[in-house]
Amino acid sequence: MTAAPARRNDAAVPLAPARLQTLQTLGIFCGLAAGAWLGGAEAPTKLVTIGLSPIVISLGMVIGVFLARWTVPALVQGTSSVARDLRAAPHLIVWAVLAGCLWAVANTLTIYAVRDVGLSIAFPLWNSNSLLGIVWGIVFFRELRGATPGRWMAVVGGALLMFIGAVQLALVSAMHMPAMDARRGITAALAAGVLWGTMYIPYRKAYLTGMSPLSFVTFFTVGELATMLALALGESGGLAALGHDLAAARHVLFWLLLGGFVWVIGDLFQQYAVKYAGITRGIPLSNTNQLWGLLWGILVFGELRAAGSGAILRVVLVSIVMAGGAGLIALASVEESEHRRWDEARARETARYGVDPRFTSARAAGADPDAGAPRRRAVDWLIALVATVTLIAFGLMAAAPQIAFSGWAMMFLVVVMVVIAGACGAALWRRTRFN
Amino acid sequence: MQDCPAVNPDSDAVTHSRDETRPPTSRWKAVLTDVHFWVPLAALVAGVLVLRWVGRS
Repeated sequence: MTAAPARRNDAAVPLAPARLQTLQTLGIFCGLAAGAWLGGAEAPTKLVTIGLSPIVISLGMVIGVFLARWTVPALVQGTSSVARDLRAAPHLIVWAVLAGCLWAVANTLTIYAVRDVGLSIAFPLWNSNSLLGIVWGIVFFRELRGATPGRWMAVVGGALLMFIGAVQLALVSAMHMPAMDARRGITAALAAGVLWGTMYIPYRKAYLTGMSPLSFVTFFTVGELATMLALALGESGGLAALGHDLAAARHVLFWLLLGGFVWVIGDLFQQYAVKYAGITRGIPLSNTNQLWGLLWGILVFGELRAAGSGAILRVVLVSIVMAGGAGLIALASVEESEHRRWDEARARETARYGVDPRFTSARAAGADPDAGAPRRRAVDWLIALVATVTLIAFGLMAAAPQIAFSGWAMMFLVVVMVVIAGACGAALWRRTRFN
Repeated sequence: MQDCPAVNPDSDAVTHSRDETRPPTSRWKAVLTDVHFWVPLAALVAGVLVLRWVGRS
């Protein structure tokens, strides 16, 4: 790779205050929508309880993630848009692939953690990623610099409230769930939290530079799939053994693929939240996924059924505390003085990698400097067709997993998730055209 | 909220020091001397080691 010519006037263009407020609000909504979808995507990890290997579960989810990460961008913006972003900032491929590798390892660790200490304990431990994400946001991307003490307190205090609430929820749940290997499971969950918290460095770097989240995820998923295949081959002892493991799990692979697909929708909202609200706001808000995971656990899978009214009351109170923490963060909007520091961080990226400042400025404003270019080509429809056929093929092989669940509760939660995604997706389209 | 606006790329700019705007000789050099690259890479290596321990213990 060769650097682009120097541009002495490369600089970030400050956003108009009204536009800044609009994008901030959008970022907050995206963070909350991400929470709903990421929480729902955790449901397939329950399959670990029917004896599937964590590696097979993670690989199945990653295959679903791979399909979704190519299909959604192809359908929404077209691969020509991805190619345009690639030409504008080719260095970001390195970070996209790196982030995908981090995700794959972290996701596999979470499945080991669920196996060893259960979803209820593992979830809050890996959700500590938001605290680490806040640190990286402040240290590397000048977030919260120039913010008033009130904003600092709201963001850090809100994140701490959510973390404390998460630990409390874990303690309530732990009373009703035997831990099989606590030390191993807790280590796996905390390590996953560190990996996911660090994964936000590539996210933020990409979005400060101006890459569209839809473009970023297409390269991200290459790192994901390559890492997961390497892990699976290493763990199972070769291609033949891995094929045997997958064939044995063919009746539930569809559900894992579907879980991966759901996760991608949540992650896309999370990426837009990071882009428009920053790591310090976007990630804690997307960590409301634990509340959604709790809803799935209680309503769909009947968890805590044996708990007494005291435990239920404690769960409700802690959930209110966590929602309060999320509310504090949501209200701590970015002021102009802080946003100027974001602009400085953006200028660093623009200058260091020789990216066209018009590109970064336009994308920071949620606009496409090259709008009007062809959107979709035959290859886009081909990608969608291949993904659909693959899902149908796995669906035909699928059997209902041997887990007790409430179909009505599941349908209710799915409808709520779809409504949230529809509303947030429409707002993203209207305000930014998904840039 | 407002609709997606047209952006004027030639509007007011934030000023920066000369050092900050100096381009690297190549993008690879810029990548390899960027702390944003090494911190995630270190986390990845550590994560793989933990995963090997968790998977085999």
